[in-house]
Amino acid sequence: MRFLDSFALIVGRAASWCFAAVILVMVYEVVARYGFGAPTAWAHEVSVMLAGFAFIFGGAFCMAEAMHMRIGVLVDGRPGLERLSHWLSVVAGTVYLSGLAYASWRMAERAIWRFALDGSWTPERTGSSFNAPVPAFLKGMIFLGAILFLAVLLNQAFKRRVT
Amino acid sequence: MDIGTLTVVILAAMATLLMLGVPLAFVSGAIAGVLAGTQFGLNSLFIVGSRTVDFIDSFALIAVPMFVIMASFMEKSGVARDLYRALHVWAGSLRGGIGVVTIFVAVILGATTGIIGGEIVLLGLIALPQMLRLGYDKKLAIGIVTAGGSLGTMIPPSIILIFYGLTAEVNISQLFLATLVPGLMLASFYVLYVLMRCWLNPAMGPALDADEQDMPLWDKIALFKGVALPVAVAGGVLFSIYAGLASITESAALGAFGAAVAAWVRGTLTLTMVREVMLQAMRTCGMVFWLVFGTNALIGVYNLMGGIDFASNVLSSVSEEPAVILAVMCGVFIVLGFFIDWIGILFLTMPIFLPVLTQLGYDPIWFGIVFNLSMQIAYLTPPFGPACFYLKGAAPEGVSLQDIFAAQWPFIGLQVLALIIVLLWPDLSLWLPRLIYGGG
Repeated sequence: MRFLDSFALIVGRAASWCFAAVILVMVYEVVARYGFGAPTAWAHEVSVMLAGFAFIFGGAFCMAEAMHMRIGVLVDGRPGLERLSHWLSVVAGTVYLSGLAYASWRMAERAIWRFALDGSWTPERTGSSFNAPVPAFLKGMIFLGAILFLAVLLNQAFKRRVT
Repeated sequence: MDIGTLTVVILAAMATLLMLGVPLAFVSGAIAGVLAGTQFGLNSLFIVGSRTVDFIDSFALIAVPMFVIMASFMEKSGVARDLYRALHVWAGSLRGGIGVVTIFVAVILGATTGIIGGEIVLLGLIALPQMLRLGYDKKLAIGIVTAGGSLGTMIPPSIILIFYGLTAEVNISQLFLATLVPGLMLASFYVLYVLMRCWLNPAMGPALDADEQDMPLWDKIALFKGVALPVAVAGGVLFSIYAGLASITESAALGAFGAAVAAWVRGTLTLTMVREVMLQAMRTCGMVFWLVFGTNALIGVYNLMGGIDFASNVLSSVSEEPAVILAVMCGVFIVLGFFIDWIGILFLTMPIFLPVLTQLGYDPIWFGIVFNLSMQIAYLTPPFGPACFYLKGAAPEGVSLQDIFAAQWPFIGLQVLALIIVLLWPDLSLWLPRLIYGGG
């Protein structure tokens, strides 16, 4: 199952370009505001969605890169403690990420599956003049991000046991 | 279980998991999940999710990756090396001169980059070998690099202050102004300390070799050409923030764009570099934000249990004297700093400390600077001194972790001194924001 790690890495690399997009959006916004006296209505909300996407999938990305911060000085190099630390991490990660996935699933469901009386789709929106569906988007993405993070964690835990 | 016992259990569980090497991102999140599930039932996990959404759904937060990107562009285009080269020729025959120059470089880098790890690694690669070659006392040279390199968060823009501003709901621009004087004061303490040590014992920090001092003035000035643009970009960002031309996030994004342009002008910009810079931002945010998600969830659940009220009450009942409570808070910062990272400390303590603080009538802007200074100490103190670990990764051979830890104590002393001064004279940090924003 090398596939999951590579998938998280690919998603992460793609998501990192969201930051480049945010920079361009912000530069455009400032130029439009000062250069043309015409600030955009969408720059802030689009930036929050782009950056939020990257922040959320950064979790699985760092897991695949084995970058998450831990204090290893007391356990590394001591095989017994190292194994304990490994499995404790898997349990703690599973508890947290499945909890987060469950919570965000419930929230996403409520924010996305919303319909007006006439049957038209009305996902939760910001309520600004541009009114992007930022809350619905972020809630859905947190669910997906937590699931991917959990999958990478379990995949790595399993991989280490067989080797 | 009553809330007091639960609090002890939570703290013990956190400490155990941390010590056993469980990733920080999981520790508080898992405890939050277990607490929510056992105390209130599965439905209350809702708070774990909603606090995460609330945290991400913030425009100001985007300033963090933008500053990281600006810093990485500067770092990768070799600004630090050029800056060091441009400044070190001015050290002249002054004893300890290169040490002083290194602190200057650290302060300027603090304004252009301001990411602790990167700055210490750069100084460790560039300045430390120079000082050791000149025959500087090993401990003094190491201390200059770690303490100087940590100054990044005391000099605006500062990631710590952005997070503090978001948590305490205070104006981040004002925080950036308030940290300026204490930051420069701390830097000047370091400079004075280095000069004093070298004056008392010339062998601690010999001057440059005579042939290196011998350089025509015009050549010395010409060395600044390479660093003018990056420094101008950093200055522009700060100006745009202070003058209120653009929000912090916008200013930071412009800075990131400007840093890329500066790299392009210097002829070092490549697609690979852009890709690396974006990935760097991705790593930093993935690491730091997921840690915050978990800590935030824990604080949310703890609050639901009435824990924050409980902890605030315990804190207020420590003493009638506000100053004592304040001292306890600083003590907590420093003790936690032995073990965990600033971001964990911030999100764990601030929800408890801030209500007490405002009740006592203290200024939250000033308290942000107190926190920032305390984190300077946390960077250096073993056993979990991030600055020391960063340097170990970059230090020349023959510099052990023991050497690095042993070198920190005088500088930690200076940091404590600066902290006491800021605690005793809040105006030292507050006069500048007052001057610019008016009011009190």
